[in-house]
Amino acid sequence: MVVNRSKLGYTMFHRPQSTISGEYLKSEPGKSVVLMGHTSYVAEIARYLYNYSKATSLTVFGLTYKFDSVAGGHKRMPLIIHERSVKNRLERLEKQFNNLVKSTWSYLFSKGDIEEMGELSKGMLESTKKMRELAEQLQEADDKC
Amino acid sequence: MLSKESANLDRQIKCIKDWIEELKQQRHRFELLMIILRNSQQVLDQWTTQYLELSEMKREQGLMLISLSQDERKSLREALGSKVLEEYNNLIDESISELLSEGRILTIAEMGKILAQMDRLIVELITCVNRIQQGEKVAIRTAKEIILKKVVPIGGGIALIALDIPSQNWVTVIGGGALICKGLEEFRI
Repeated sequence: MVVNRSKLGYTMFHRPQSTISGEYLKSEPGKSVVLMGHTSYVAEIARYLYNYSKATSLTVFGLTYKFDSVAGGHKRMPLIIHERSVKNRLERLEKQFNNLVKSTWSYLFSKGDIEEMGELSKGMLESTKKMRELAEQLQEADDKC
Repeated sequence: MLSKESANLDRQIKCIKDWIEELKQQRHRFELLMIILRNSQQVLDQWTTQYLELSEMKREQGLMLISLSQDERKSLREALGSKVLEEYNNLIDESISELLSEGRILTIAEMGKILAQMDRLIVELITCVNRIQQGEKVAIRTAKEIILKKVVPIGGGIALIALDIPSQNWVTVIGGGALICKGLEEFRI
């Protein structure tokens, strides 16, 4: 099955039931390709990419893997790509993002512009609870009218 | 009889005013959070792209996009009450799914629009209070309808954001924003 994800700007080959036509790959030169699924599918498609489309690299989730390694007399398949690699990238970005947030927070906190994280969170929750209670009181008053 | 009615009216006006004050405070906290998130916009954009990839996989596998921990559910139940929790869960899943079906997630700029919507809500409620004080009893119903309709999306969204600030779970922080956005979008002055 070939799924076109035009919105995200790439073509995705996902869980092919049989082999993917090398002709098809050749017909779309220069297009970004993302592979998903089990390792065997990824390896299979990567083999086609290398053998039939003359691709020299594969871009997966923004990272480019080059087909230039030789191992044991065979062309080495690109890295095994699966959900975990996305999760790892997400975690790295999240860490980076959290550090940025923490430093901004510390800066604003030192200026006295913001409470500490726990206090802000507590305040939001308490306020939410109070808003609900007030809404309930209003609802009751409505019933009495 | 008249004084009882008058006392009841005063109580309702006070409730509405208190609700406005709480909303103002929530708006202020939300704004502070936005200032902080905006400062990290570039990394957040990269993270969002990756998150969209992962959520696509999850959807294809039929997995939930957001799952709350037991502690989070407990705190939410305490803040919102068990009656609204179910409605809240459906809303947030729906809000996030809608955004993802468009191939995107709520941006910081869109979250900024929430502030403007909250402002409009505050103005509308203040206008209602003024109208009530001038003797327009119909304004009580209008104010109540606004509050009761918005209490789940605003309260729920903010509670979710509040819960996930300390753990820095940005998916649900943004999900909370999406929920508020969805809840407020129906509101037109």
